Amino acid sequence: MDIIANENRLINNSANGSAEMAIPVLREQANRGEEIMLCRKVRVDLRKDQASRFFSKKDNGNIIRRYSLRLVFLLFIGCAVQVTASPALPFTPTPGLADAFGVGIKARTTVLGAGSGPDGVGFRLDFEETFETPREFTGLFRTTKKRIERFNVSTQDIKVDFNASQQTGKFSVFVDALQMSTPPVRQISSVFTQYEIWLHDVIYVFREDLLPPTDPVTIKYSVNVDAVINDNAPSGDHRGGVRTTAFIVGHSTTTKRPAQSGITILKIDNGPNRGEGIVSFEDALIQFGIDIRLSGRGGTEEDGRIEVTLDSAVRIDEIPPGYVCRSESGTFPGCDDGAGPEPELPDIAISNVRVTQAVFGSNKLAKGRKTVVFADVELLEGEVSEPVLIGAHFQDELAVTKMVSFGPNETIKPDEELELVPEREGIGRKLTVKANFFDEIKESNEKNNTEIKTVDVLTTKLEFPYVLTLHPECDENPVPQPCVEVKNSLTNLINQSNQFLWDVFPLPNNQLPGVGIDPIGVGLNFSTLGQNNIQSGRVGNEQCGIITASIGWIDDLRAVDEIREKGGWKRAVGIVPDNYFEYHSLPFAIGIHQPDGFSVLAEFGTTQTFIATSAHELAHTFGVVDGYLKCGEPSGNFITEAYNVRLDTLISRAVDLMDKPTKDMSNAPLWINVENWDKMVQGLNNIAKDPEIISIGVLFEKDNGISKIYPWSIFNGFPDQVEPGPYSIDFININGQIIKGVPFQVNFKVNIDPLGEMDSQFSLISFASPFPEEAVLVNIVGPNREILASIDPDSKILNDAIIRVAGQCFTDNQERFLLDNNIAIFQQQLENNNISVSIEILNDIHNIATQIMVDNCEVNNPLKTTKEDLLSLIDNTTKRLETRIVEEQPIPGDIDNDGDVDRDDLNIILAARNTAASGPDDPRDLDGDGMITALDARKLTLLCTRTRCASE
Amino acid sequence: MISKFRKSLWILPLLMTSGMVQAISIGFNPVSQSVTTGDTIITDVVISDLGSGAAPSIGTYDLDITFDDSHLSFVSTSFGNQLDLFGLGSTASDILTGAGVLNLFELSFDLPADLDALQADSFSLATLTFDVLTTNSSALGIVVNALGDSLANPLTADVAAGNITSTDLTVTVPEPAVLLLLLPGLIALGITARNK
Repeated sequence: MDIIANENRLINNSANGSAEMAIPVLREQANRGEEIMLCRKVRVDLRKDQASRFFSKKDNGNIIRRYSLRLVFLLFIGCAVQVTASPALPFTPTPGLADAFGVGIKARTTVLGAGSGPDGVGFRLDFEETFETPREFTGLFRTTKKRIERFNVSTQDIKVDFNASQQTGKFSVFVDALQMSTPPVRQISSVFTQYEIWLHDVIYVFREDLLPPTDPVTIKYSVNVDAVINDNAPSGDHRGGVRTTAFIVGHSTTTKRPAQSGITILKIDNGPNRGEGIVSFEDALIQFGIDIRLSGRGGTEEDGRIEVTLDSAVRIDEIPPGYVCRSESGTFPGCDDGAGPEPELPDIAISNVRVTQAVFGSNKLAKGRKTVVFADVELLEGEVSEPVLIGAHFQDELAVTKMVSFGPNETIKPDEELELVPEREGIGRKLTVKANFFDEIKESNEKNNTEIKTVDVLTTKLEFPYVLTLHPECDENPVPQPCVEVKNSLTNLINQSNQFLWDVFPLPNNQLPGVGIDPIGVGLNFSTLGQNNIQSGRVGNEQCGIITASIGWIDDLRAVDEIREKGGWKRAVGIVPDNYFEYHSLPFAIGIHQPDGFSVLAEFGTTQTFIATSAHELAHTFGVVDGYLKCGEPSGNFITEAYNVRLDTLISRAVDLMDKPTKDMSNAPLWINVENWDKMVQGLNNIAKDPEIISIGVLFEKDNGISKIYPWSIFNGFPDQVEPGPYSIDFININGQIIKGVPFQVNFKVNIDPLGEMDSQFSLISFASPFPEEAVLVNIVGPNREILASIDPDSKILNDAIIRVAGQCFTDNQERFLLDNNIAIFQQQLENNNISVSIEILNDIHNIATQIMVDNCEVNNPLKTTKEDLLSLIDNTTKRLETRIVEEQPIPGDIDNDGDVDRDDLNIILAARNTAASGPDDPRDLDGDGMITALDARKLTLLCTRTRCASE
Repeated sequence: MISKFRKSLWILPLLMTSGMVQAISIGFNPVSQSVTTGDTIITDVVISDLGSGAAPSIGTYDLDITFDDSHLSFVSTSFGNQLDLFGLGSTASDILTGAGVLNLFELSFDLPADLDALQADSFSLATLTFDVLTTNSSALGIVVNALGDSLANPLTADVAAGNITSTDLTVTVPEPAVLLLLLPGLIALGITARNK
């Protein structure tokens, strides 16, 4: 007869705080002959109210900089086994562990509402778990997440077998808190990591003939939990040390209870300086955690380690005759698990991932454009009763997820859609699509859950004017009716044209290309016939042949192009009336573009004709060639599948806008094919690469030099012509060389009308200068070549942009400080030339801005920074800094690579004094003689960044 | 022209003389000590022939002092002050790295210019104290692991060993002169002869 306890009652009683309450229930049930299940794993999730209790301690102010990171572990031990057998078992329990015993860890890290306390500074968690026993599992569980709200990080399910010969098994949890920010975090509201640790097999042996049991037989487990805290971390990172408290939830570490047979013993030892104690629990459920408080900036050192050791248990080699056994895992020879066959684990897979912004099959995407990812979610094995979470994200960007539910006998959910927007530019960026996104559903195979696409994300831009060309008679007074009709219908025409251009061209969201001038107000009377001897027609059959057209349309094209140039546009579309080309002896034409030209003419015609024509002609200006054959014969090719991301509709059998439809495709929509899409991405990316200029504003005061430096900004445009003078703005590269100097004059004069020119105490210098990509420093140099100010442009421009973010562009203006704090850290790191760290902080700022700022917020003041402006600037700054990091040279003597040379570096050398260097690149061997000696130490003192090698 | 050439030749030996650098020496002071077993000896490790108000000066040293540990027992080290000219602190250590091997190390944080200008041309690097365990005579040796100037350039030095001799404390009992011993016998013989 099996002894199976009522699991629910055990759980309920255990949850009430004592297994003592549960055990009599078991015995009572056993005596009644009821089935009793023993030692089932009990899983209790940490509820939010419990979590808040853990994290509610306030900063006591004793530590200048203090951070709180708590990891809460739930420890599930195979519960105490009390069964009855009389007489005692006919074998002697021997010390050590049988192979059947083991321990496993199921780690699940959940970060909820993480990021900051009231002081607004976030943190980063970095977990690493290693297993020190002989193991099947050899990988690491490592997650690094920063300031992510409501983000489930990862789940791993790992089992580790104990080694019988070593008689112990141990795993350790590595805890490292990185990149702590400078101001204190007083309270972290709801961040927790939850671990379940359990013995993955428990063997019960009973005498067959003496059941039901009457006397207890004890199998005892001892589990030691040692919290080892590294509070001697090098001062370079954890200056001031680490303060830690290991604790058991609901119990003090100093509490001691007498050990009792048949119960689990939990010992927490958090170091000789912290006291130690043995805490015994009757509960099957044991929770313990570690509270790490750093008094300095985080680093790469280990902050703490929790080691769990199962150091004794009863060894069972074989089941004696006359006895029955149960093995929870069912792996012990001769035992079954008593729980029936294991349920078949499902196998969820992702496949057939396709990405589109308009076309399928291209890996080129426009930054900031809505992107749709299609994927098939398959259930290859088993069943899932709960919805499956699928998600997708671009590299280093936030993910989008959705739930997918499988119905009965349903094995595939085809073409599941996920919408996201690539926010970062880059070649070869990864797009990850994953089913069972947080690994919440245990699977038999998790390797087929993820598919990664590599895409090129480029910044694209297109802005151009529509320039209306009207009949000369439209200038007459009164204006003829047709002219009025044309003008009135133009706005609608342009709107529709813009919409189509956005649909088929790789442009970012909310950027309609045809903007800039009011076409109604820029009517341009087209030219008269003019000369008739200009060759401009096409060659071919009835429509072909050398056509001699008038020169007039060229005059008009030139006029349109001049308007383009004066407006600073990259392209222009001239709209010509229906009879325009016929009038100019080009009866078959509807649009014209001259090779290498940037302006085009398109006939008004019907709305559809104009839309198609303007898109076609504009594409020509980006080097896209006609798809039709000579003389306008359709190629017969068509687009089999495309997607309209604006309307979320699939398009099949479309005609490329550079081609012509065959008769059977006369009703097919116009679209763009993959080849032309790729060309347009490249072309529009080139347009976006206007020369970068920097707007500089400095106020000089007579006799006092620089009085004020105004906010600076960078944008694409044209530099000003500055009156040369004895002053100069010098752009310095990373090697300290002047790569560009802009001399300028400082005149302390002012013209006040009608008084005339007068002396002034101040002189404003404000101009736009070319901004060399490799400039890392801007020096404002006085007339005697003295440096009046030296400014890191990347740091200043980003700081100025953040200062200029409009209040309404935040979801909550109170959160502005998150940006302010991080930009301060960024500036500090950049000042210390820690480029890599600076880039990481930029990444943080990008994520923060993404979360706390409003999309497309309206600002009346064009000097204000919007979310889009800021994200673009951050990306731009990141790219500029990345060019620095390539050239970044290690600081000689900065052995611990923390950006300075100080006592910490010296100590590293002294610790290795009179030993051989590890090689020619050993940073400790400063004199390169192959040995680390006192001479290296002395050499380092000459390199120290502070007096007498003081540490920071 | 010729006279100028001759003048130059004449000056050359002077330049050569003034440019010659005398070898740096490291030794013990006193070089040799005779003490009584059970006493404590104190000896300075001295360096000399450095620049006077000029380079070379010592920026760091790393020496092994060897001694017979059956004869002497190391007690303590007192480091000198010439690598810490302003009393702001240097890094120094004295570690017994093996039987009869004492490692002395000191690193200056002073600026090269200060060391060159202000460091004495001869000074005590450290003062060592030993207990004398047995009656014996043994040598004190010096092994230079590293010796660096103010700019961390390596320096070479001649080292001179020291010597410690110890003797037992004994009381001399004066012996009577031979004639003095013979005198009673002679007197006895004289008396005997006169009686006869």
